[in-house]
Amino acid sequence: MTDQELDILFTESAKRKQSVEKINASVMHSVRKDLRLKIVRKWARLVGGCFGIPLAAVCYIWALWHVMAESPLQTPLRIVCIALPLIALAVLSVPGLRNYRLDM
Amino acid sequence: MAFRPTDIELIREVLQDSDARAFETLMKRYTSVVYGAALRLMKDEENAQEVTQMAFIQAYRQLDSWRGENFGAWVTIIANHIALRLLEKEKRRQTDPLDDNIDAPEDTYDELKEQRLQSLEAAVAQLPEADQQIIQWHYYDNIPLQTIAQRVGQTENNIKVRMYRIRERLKKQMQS
Repeated sequence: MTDQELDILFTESAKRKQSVEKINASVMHSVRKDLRLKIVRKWARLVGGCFGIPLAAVCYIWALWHVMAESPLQTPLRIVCIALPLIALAVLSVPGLRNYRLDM
Repeated sequence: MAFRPTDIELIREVLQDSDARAFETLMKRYTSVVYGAALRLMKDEENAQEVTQMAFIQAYRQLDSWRGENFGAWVTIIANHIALRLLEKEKRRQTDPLDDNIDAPEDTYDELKEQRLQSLEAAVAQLPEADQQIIQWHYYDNIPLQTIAQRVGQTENNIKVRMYRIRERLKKQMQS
């Protein structure tokens, strides 16, 4: 191998290094974006769990109270209103229907 | 000797601590290899870059499903799949009579050049760290020998002699 060939090879190698750095920068840009989204999703889930679910429960009870106050005893609507939250709780306790990633 | 974490340790850091720097370290180890594999299939630098990027992003998103030993081999397989899929798509597009006027990308791939580049990288990696630094400064960062001499605390002539020895060593290693 001559000196000139080695120089050409080094020039090619420098170009290759630039390409590789460009790839790395681009991939890391996407990775950081993914990570930011992951953090946002995690906090949104936490806030939803802390405030969203109790709020939904309060709204549901408030609506249920109105329905029950207006309807006579043992109507199908009243039975459905009581059964719905029980079904929701049962579904949450079935591992097959629950998202395992949330448990970790 | 500096501590060098294994692929598995780095992946654990990425998954448990969401550490982007750990993934960057992991990626830097294999980008060149994966890019070389993509270039071998795509025969075009721009497309090979795209395939390499897609492969690493896909690997990152599926990292929790990886159960192997060698991360580089896994990403190379992903890159090969992506490259073959793109080539297949390109082939189908070229058989479409509506797209006859579109030029195919120019073939810039040279197998011999690729082999020589890889052997140069391997030869440089075998040099002592101080020599690798000089090569990095001079050939990749385009720093003149005079500045390197100042940085290292030697005369310019000493650096020239050292550079001559490094080059001879590289030539010898590449020929063997």
